[in-house]
Amino acid sequence: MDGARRKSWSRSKNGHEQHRMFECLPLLRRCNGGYYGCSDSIWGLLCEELIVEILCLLPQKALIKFKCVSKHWYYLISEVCVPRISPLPLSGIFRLVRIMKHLSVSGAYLQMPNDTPLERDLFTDDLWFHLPRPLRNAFTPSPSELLDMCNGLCLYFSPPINLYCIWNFTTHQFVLFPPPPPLGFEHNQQEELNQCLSSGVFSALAFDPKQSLHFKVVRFDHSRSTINPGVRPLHIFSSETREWVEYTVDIGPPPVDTAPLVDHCVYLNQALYRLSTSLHLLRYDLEKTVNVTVLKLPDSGSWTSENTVDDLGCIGSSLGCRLYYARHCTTRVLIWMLCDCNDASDWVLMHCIRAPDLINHELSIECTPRAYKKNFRQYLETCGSLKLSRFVGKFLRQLQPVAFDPTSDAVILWAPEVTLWYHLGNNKLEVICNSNTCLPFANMAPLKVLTYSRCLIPLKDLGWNHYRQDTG
Amino acid sequence: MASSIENNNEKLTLKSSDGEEFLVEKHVALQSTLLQNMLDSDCSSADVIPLPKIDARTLALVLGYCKKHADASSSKQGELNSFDSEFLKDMDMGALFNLVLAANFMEIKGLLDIAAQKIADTIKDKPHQEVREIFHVENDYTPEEEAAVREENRWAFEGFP
Repeated sequence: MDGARRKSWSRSKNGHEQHRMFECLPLLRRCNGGYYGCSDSIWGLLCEELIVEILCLLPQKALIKFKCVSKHWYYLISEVCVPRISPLPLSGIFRLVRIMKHLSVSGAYLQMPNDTPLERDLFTDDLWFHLPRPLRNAFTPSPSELLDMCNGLCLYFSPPINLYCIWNFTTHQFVLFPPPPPLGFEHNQQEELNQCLSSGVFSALAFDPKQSLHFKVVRFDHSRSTINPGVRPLHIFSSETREWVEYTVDIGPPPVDTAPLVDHCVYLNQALYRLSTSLHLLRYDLEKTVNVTVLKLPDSGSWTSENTVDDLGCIGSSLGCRLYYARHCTTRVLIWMLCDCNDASDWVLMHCIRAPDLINHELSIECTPRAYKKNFRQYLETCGSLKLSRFVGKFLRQLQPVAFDPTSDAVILWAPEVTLWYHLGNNKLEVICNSNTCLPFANMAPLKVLTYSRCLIPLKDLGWNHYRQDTG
Repeated sequence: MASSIENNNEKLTLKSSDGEEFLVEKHVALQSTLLQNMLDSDCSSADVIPLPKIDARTLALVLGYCKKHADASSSKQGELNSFDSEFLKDMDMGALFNLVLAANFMEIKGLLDIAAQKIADTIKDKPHQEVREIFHVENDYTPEEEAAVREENRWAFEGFP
């Protein structure tokens, strides 16, 4: 806690440009540092440390609203309170499903049982109301355009208008910027262009407000060198410079070089992690020199010769320091943690979740319905629309990890009809959704699950004052 | 009273800023980390401990809280919770601020937490102009600056005046 706080102060001291308007404001004066008695009023006595203590207990909206009280409160809230209460607990997940029949992607937001709903829906036109008119007409947001989500910010790419969009669902603010000019290797430029236009290029978002208020977008171009397919271009956009920079990375020798990669990244400590169907984990370092490290995935003893993107398992970060890898194996879910020791990284098996145990697991009291405690099986019995025996059979066979909760030490599990949140430390189990939620395609395995926790930082602080008209 | 503390009924005297003296049983005083540290070091319990930053009215409230929490066993958590909410009920802002200051000075974490939460709950739905008055904060924004901050954080004002 203390470490995190200090970090945020040093950030503000290092000339954090956005708050120049209120510079010269002192750092927190401490209660026991002789501040007592400066004034006769209660306010004079109630030092900043206690003010911060009180402000941090406010609901999010009220806290941000009180930035209007004074310049000093603006500083206290932006620079001390918000970093202190971040990251906010997981609000919900976005679950994307591929609909084979229509060759399209469907998506839905599932809120955590004790959280409040999003104020704006993810895929309604309402969300795009603020777009300038010509863009608004061309841009119908679809789940396939949602590329990534990282610490409360969402990344979209819209092929029709050829623009990236960063959206903060909490503050309802967004920025648009164009992709880099198509470069890459000349021989297949036309092919790449076609691919871009039809599907968009997979891109990932790198944002961690604990470390920096700037974000980066990494665009993984399709083009390949025919001589050395492991060498490929990479474009990185930084909100600090507002420019794309092209890099070339080598992801390694066969079989990594030609194996398809999973279209999902996890950002942790200045690096993006991405799974490869060659059973490797790729680590893209974004700090200083941009390079790629390749790590072998742990052997769960159940690898088949043909691994597809769908049965690779999932990776996720936890509490800003751990990287997990989880995989479904018969009726169990195995979870490894990446440990760094002596310059080498290795996997350590941390948890083994048995699906039959989970069926009889006691649900935490926050779970809907809240009123009484019962186990998961009894809970399912009360969800009338399920045929329990059939459900249990499917549950045991198909339970699989789909994501990790970055704000706590929990894994998100999916089985047909049901999505679960399971804490690895205290074994707390919650049902995020079940068949009664009337979720379309609930029995289809998710293509991608993105986690969402609120981000209270206004765009101004993210390096953007307003939407820039000239991007169109 | 619980039997376990019968052989430990030493008393100590606390003196408020306005000179009033309070005789407190030691196990009650131990709710305060500050007093606990003083007793652990060389301070003799025969001395009068002055608390120059806390007035008699606030100190009486603090000691009432400490007594209740020192005497109740941990199994009565529900009872303590209802005592806590009853304890702060109808307390005005001035008294709450004094309580927060006293709890912070005497290092009584439980009391600090509930009093700070009570203040937060009271101000959360109030307009920021009113919060300025409560906390005696001078508005140093120009009208334009205030409008700019409001615009920048417009989402937080939805549903509020």
